[in-house]
Amino acid sequence: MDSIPTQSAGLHEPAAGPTASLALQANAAGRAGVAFDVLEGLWREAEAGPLGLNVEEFADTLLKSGEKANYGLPPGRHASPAQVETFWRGLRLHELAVAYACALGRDAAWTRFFAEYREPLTRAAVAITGSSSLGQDLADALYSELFGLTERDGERRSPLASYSGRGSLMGWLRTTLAQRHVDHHRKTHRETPLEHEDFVAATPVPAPSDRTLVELNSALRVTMSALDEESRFMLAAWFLDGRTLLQIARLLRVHEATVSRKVKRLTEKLRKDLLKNLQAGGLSRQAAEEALGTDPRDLGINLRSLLQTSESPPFLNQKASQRPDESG
Amino acid sequence: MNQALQHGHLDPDQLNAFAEGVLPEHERLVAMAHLAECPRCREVIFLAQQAIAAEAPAVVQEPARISFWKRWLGPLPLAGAAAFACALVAVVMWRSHPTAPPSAGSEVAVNREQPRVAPQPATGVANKPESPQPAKAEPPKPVPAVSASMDMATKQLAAPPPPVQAPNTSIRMPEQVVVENRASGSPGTPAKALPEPKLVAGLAEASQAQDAKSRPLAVAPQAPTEKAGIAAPVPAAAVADASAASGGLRDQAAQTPSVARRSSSPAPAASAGVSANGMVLQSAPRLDLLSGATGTVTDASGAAISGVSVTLRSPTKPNAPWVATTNALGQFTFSTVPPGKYQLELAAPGFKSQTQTLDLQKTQVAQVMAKLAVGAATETVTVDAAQISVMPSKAERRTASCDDPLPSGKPGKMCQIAGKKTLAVDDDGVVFVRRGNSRWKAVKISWTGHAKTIGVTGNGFELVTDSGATWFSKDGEHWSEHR
Repeated sequence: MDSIPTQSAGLHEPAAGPTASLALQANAAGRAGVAFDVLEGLWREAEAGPLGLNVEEFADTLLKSGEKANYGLPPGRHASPAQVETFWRGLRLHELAVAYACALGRDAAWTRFFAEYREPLTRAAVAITGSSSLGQDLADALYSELFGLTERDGERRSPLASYSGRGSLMGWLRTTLAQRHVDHHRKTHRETPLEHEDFVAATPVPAPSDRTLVELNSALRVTMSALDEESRFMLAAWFLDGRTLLQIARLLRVHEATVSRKVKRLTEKLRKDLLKNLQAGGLSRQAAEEALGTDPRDLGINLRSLLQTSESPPFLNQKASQRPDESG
Repeated sequence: MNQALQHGHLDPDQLNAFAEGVLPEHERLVAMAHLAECPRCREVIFLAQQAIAAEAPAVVQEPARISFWKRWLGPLPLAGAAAFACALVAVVMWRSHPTAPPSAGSEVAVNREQPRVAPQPATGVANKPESPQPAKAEPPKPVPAVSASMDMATKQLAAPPPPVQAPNTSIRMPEQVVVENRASGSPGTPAKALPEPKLVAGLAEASQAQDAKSRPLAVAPQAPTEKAGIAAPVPAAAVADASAASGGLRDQAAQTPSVARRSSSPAPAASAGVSANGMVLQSAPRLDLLSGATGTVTDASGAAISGVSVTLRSPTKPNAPWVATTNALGQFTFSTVPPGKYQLELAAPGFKSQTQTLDLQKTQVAQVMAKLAVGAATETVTVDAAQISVMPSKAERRTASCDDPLPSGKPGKMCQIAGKKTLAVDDDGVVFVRRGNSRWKAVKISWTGHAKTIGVTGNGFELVTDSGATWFSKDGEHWSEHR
């Protein structure tokens, strides 16, 4: 987890000054592989000086953001100085400086943060929780957490240090609030009665034969695994989470009609591929049609887990899972 | 912070970058794959998106202030459009439903008013000591609010002419004209000092306003009757009326509307006045004294030529001609033109231009049969007046019933028809009346002296004795003196 080791003088003690020594500047420029003038230009552009950040400190957060995202390149590729500079210039430099200066405990940065984000943070928390009191509690809890009250290994850590500057700081705060709320909800509402979510089959259908179930399981696995990431995300969000077309469309930045068309095509394609795989397994077309009407509860597999199981590597291990086509 | 949940999940920075669409494609696909299989991260990211949507209404926007003028003047375009639509519908209905001829009383009232509204001191009316009748001016009747100067002139044109009317006796004329005719001491002669220029100018304005409503080209209703050369002056008793010949412009508008248009005719100042309600009133056009011309233009083979530019130009006012264009039948009509000599110019592309001389007498309608020869437009053919026939006007045809000899054996000096009654006076001033074609019956005189002139009013006859007294009768038999 990203963490900012506070200075020996304490978290809220200002740094030595906005202007670092020549040795520090040379170190920052050497780590980034870019000229010091570029770093100084970005530092001025971010207005990091009034926030209490010197060039080295600002270069430090730029380096962390770049290394975290591999400067926007696929894993395994080495970024050239030009690509590094391009990546840095694409960041929200000022918000990154505010977040990092706050993580370092600079008073000027906190004053700016309080003036710009305290009120929106509370509104977002109220919107997420749907309750004014719960929202206020959630916002206060996150605010104290951002202030660095959490300690680990004797060091105070602020989540603001994990902000990379790729998205907006307010979006990061909102997502962090949502994450905290979901985590809190999952911890406190872990035991949910199944009968509230289960449904009763309308008409009892004769139980399919074992061979049909085996073929159906096999066909489902093959069909689901053939779906791409976006299709599986849309199916999961639509069928499993019950999200609306508008919610999915906003997240994917497309029109909701596009999502509707895609979901319809996906279901048609899914059914067609299932029939095809069932027939390829030896079932007749009529038997395959009947197999599609099988009660999901009779299946030996969990469709939810099947849909949510992919052969892609875990996200955090993406650096190790280099795609063959990206390994250039 | 729950560090355990961070492992195996997208952190807020990645989720936010994915939601804001700033992740590179390869990282986006990885994030998508994780979101497809991770309900927790899906829930987080959808919850954050839901917060964005919920935050938006929280931003209270002050309702836009509407300025005072915008609030009050805002509906004006709509109201204007509605008013325009109403006016359009009214005009269309007025156009498609010709109004009935106004009553005679109202017509007389309008005509009586006009000399007061547009006095013409040039005629010297005020200096005439023997003016027999005081001014019959009545308070001006209120003009409808929708009428403007153009409408007023159009109404004057649309007013049906009196059935039969002597120009020198009718009380419908402006007073100064009547007075001057009486002072001339030559009963029966046509009015010599008619205020034609001003009246014609006003008429031209009226005609222009009338044509401004884009009336279709007229079809000459009259058939050529006989070739009589240039029209000879008709006797005063043979009251001819060009406007009557045209059948009344209002009635004619539906069938044979006028096409004459004065190309440039500034309205004289004396012909217009301002009424009490501030509306501009045009002087009354002397429709009963105006002439007209109609004709057909053909080529050498007799085929009608349409689109021929017909110009009627007065030598005294060469810069203010009347202009018309032949219709598909090659016909043109000048329905309201002051008497006088004119140059009729016919011009069409591909044909030789032709110029004819017309001597239009009052109350007559000249019939022109023109044949254009093929040739360059620059060539001009001058036609003498012998080729122009004069068609007897409607009033002239109506006087045919007066041709019967009078019981006195004396030649009839004057004859007027009002409805079914016919009134005639012989040279001795004896008045006779008859109904239809029945026998003449001498009128029992109630006045002293002899009848000098007779005329037709809106609702009967008018008689002026040689002593200057004016008498009226509705049936021609029972007379009462106008005081």
